[in-house]
Amino acid sequence: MSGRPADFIGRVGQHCVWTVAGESGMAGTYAGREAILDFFRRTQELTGGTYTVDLNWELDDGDRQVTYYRARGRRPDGRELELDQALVCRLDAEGCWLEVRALPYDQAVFDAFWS
Amino acid sequence: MTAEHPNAALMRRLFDAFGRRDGAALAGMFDHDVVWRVGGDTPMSGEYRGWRDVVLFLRGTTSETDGTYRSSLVWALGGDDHAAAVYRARGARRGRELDIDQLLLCDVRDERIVTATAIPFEADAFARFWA
Repeated sequence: MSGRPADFIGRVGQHCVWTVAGESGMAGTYAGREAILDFFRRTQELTGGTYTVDLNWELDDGDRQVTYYRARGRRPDGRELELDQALVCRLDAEGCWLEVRALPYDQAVFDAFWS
Repeated sequence: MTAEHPNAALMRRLFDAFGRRDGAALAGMFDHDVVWRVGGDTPMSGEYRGWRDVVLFLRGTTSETDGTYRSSLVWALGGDDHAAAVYRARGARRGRELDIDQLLLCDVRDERIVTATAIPFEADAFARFWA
């Protein structure tokens, strides 16, 4: 996986709940596939399409998954992001994401970029 | 039942050794040049390089909390070159309490941890506790 978060789209289950920690404008809980895809679209809109994710590695056992990746992007005002992040996920029977907790390595850096 | 991957078992041994405060066992699970990363800007944040500094850092979680700091493994995943663990971190320090989940992400070589990256699920609670 490398490139736009669109690479994540096929993994989002219909009833997935995605939680973003912190105090930025992106923080919160997104419930349902459509709300999560809207959230993905916002990452593109707010970064002029520059937001990308590059997979470092991922592990799963069919029930749980950890995805570790490098997020990069640039806001129109010049703020830049290059930050390791992780998704801690519970999978449904089809292997799609049922619950996702997004964890940045440095919450302050994440919040400063997305605020 | 699927057998546990050796690197998931390594995570179990790591948390077991930490729970026993067994520094020698911990050191044996680290590559000589291991790097342990803690995000944020608390006094505990930073990059600890080499097994001695990493063991000292882990001891610091005990000394900074009057021995109350505990980390209990919740679940672990292992792959050929990596391991991940979700654990519950609890402790008391200067009148403050910690009780949060944290994530440990490890690169592993020859069943030894080469890099470890710790990420709290609740960064604010982590920062308040260790400040």
